[in-house]
Parts: sequence; C-alpha cells; structure tokens
Amino acid sequence: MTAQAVREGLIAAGYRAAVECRLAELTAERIAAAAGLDSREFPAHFGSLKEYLLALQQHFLDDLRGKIVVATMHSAPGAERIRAATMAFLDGCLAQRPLRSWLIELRATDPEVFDMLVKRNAVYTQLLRIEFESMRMPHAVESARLFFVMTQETALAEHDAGQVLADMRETMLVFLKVAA
Amino acid sequence: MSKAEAAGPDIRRALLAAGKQLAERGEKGISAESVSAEAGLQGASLGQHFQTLSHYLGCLVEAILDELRDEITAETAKLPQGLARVQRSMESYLEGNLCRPHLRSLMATHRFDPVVAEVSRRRTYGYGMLMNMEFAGIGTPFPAAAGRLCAVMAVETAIAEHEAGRRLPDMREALYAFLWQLRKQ
Repeated sequence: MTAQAVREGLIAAGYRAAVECRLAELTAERIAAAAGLDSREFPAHFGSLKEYLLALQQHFLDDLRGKIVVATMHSAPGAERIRAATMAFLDGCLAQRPLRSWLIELRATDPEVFDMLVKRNAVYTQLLRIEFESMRMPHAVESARLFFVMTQETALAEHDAGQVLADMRETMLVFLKVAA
Repeated sequence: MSKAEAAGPDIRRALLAAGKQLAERGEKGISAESVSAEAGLQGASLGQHFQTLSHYLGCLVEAILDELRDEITAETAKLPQGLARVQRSMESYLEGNLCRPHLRSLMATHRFDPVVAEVSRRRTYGYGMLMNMEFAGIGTPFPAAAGRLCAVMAVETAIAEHEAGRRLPDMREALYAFLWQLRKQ
C-alpha cells in the first residue's frame, strides 16, 4: 500500500471514529486500529495527533468545497448560485455532524485549527463578494462578510439541532432580496 | 456575617474595576498579580474572590457587557416597539463597542479561554432573544431565526469596526438593509 493510500485510510478512519467517540477520547492508537494499522505506523504518516487533526479538518474543508463546486458548476453568477452554494455548504456540514463536533471543539481551543478555518472562510467571503458585485448588491464587501457569518451561524444552529432548520435558511436568504 | 464576607463583594468590585482600568490602558497580559497590584490589594486576593483567572476574565468581560446593555436599554426602552427600535439598539450596541475598544481586545485576546468564550456566546444568544421578542411583536416571520441572525451580524459588524478602529457606515447600512428587508417578506 502506498503512503498516500495509508494516509487516506487514516483520514477515512477519522470520520468513522468521530461517530464512535468524543474528541477527548481520541488517540493515535484508536485511529490506527480503525484504519487496520499497527499504531507504530501512525507517526510515519502524521507526526502527531495534532497534525492528524489538522489534516482531517483540511480534508473536511476540501470535501465541502468540492460539494459546493458540484452544486454550482452549471449555475450563472447571482442569487440562485449563492442559494445553491449556501445549501450545499449547510447540507455538507450537517452530513458530517460527528466530525464537525470534533472540529467545532478544536476550533474553540486550538489557534492553529482556528486560523486554518479563518483562511478558508476568507476565500468564501471573497467569492461571495464577487457574486454580490455581479448582482449589483450595495456594499458587496460588507454584505459578503455579513452573509457568510449568517451561514456559519445557521450551520451551527443546525449542528446543535441535528437537522435542517428551514426557518433559519429561509430567513438568511432574505438577505439576497436586498439586491433585487 | 464576618468582616471578610462583608468586604467580599466590595473587593470583587475593586478587582473588576482594576481589570477594566488595565484593559482600558491596553495591557495585554492581565494576570492575578497585575490586577491585585492595580487594585492596591495583596497578590493572593484574586484567587480568594474568583475561582480562577479564567473566571475572573469572564466576570470582567461580563461586567463591561453589562454596562453596554444598560446603555442600550436606557436609549431604547421608551421607544415604540418595531424595527426602528431594533435598528436603534444595534446603533447603540455598535457605538458602545467602538467607545470600548478594550472590550473587543479582551474578547479577542482571550478567544480561546472557555469561560470568556461562554460569556460571549451566552450574551450573543441573549441579544438574539431580545430581538426575537421584538420581531415576534411586530409579526416578522420566523422571529427566533431573525433574532439570532441579526445578533451575530451586529457582533460581526462590531468586530469589523474594532479591527478598522472606526465606524463602517457601509457595513451598518448592509446590516440595516437586511433588517428592513425582514419586514417585506
């Protein structure tokens, strides 16, 4: 098995382990066992549990971005594409609720994990700005920042509720009518 | 009640006032020693009145947020219920944050402190609940959702203005545009 395949196996094991245990119970041994590896192999692929968790978050964020791309690739710029992207973002977050529990906990306590998220969110905010500009939304830069913070809050509310919250989604999409 | 017990609340207040002064001066590393020294008390005082430094910082942030809340209440309590009052409360919240840069600095510096983070989360939730009641009173669809979203948007605007060190009229306008759009649903 290639090193890349082993790494991918360990990352996939993280998603499964998140269903079964809390972050505080996570160990390199547990991940290795879930991936069918000897725990002594873990450090060769991830130097530490922290490095592994950073890679896991990166994987989650990349996967989420991929879902958004698929959901929007045939849409023209504008409100409908933002709506599709937002729904893909929210659905993607909810679909990985166990892993998100780990990541939410980590982001609240680990500056490195938090910074990685801030950087990715800055990309989303820039993309939103471009969409808002195409819609001639007033104050596109500021609107993008506000819209994204609503998206994050809705994702958090749905995470806590364990289900889609249609009221939150509908209310946040009212923002797009400002440009209409 | 013993003399020590009677003095307790006063000492707590003195320690919180000292922390506020340190924060206002832009002191980055607030410690038990620096707070006690600022208050003119012995080094061990903080530990006698607050469970941990983390709890002290949580109380400090809460005390500053209480001031802000009281200001907003004083400015809006006599206004008629409606979106204009919600906007006025947001305006007051943003102005209150701008004239207290130490509040946002404290919250940012101690972002990863669980007690400070919990205070921040709880207050934003409370702010959202107040707006929920306002929205429910004027028949806005999904008032709880509207309240929660407006609260985080107001907080985000306050953070942006703190980062910029000035009012951001465009961001406020975007925030208020959403607020008034809620009425038109």
